[in-house]
Amino acid sequence: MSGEPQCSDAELVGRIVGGDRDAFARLVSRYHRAIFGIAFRMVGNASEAEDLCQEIFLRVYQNIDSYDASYPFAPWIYRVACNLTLNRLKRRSLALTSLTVEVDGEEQERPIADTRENPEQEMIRRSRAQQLQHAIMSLPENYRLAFTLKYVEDLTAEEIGEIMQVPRNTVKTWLFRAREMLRSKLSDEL
Amino acid sequence: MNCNEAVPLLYDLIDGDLSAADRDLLDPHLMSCARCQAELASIRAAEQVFQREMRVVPEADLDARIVAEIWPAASRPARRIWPKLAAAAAAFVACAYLLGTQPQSVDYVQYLNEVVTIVEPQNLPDHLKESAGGFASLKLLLTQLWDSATVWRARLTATWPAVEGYWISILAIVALQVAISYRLLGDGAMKQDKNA
Repeated sequence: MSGEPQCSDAELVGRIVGGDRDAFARLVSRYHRAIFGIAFRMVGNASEAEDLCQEIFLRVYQNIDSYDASYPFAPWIYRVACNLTLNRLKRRSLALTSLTVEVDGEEQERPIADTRENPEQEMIRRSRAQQLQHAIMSLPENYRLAFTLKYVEDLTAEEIGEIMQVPRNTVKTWLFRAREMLRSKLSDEL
Repeated sequence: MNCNEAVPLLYDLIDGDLSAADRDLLDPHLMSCARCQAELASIRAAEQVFQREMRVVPEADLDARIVAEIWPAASRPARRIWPKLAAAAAAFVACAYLLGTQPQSVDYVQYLNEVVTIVEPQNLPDHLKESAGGFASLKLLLTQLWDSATVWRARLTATWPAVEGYWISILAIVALQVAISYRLLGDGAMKQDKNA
């Protein structure tokens, strides 16, 4: 992969439409971390997020013909992800589960961030990560989604507004309220 | 400026999104307000936590598993053409059975009512539901389509007389297919917003 020339998103999409499986694999590889991050923060557990991730990429593949290459690809795939995520949350109530997953009968923690630190620092950090996710899950869905897009993908309010199809000022209001709510809930840890 | 007005601007400040005019209002207040200085410190601390903790790491092989599930190596999955064709074929059979093939003796209002029964309102896209206001508007919409279709019917049957015997069924199929297409595409999948 490292020796191959970097293709643009539009080039990959064109090759996917032509039946190039490798191009699809490269597109998934390029965006799966971002899509997983959005899904995870919205649904609150890793297994559900993986399932949602797959559903999102399946929908992307099925509707790849409707993508207009004259526009950036990233907002389009993020919009698919946001719509499917919100649809799933609307269809059923998702209880927050812990950030641990069970593998072969043994509980294992899902890594949140790749940092180099000592075990005590790591334990403190994981506890904070769990508290943050608990707090995020208490946000209204639109606030949660805007907050997730900002901090998982570093998007501006304008970019988030384009994806969620709301005005920029609406996004700013949502972000302000989300950050205030989280700051209040996490005030003891900050 | 009071503290309630200042706090939202503190977020714009850390985002680098503060206008010059707002900056001129905020700076003097910040210099003299210990409460807002403390708020700014708290906001910065929270921002560091968010920046550090929000990104998550998926399992290393997630992308490979996604590709393998969606596009197995030995095949190419079909895109959403066959479900529409299957729906159109089923609709053709249903409409041919319900509507028959005797357009000359048709009371078109009766057929219109039957078509409306088939095209369920909950399958319509939201913009049609909101503006249609129920069955009455839907019937008006279909009446307008019918009037346009009547003109085309005359043109087509002049060229292909066989069309005459199946005209009602063809019209119902087109209307039903539009409704089915919206439902298949509207459930979360996005068309590119060409006005963006």
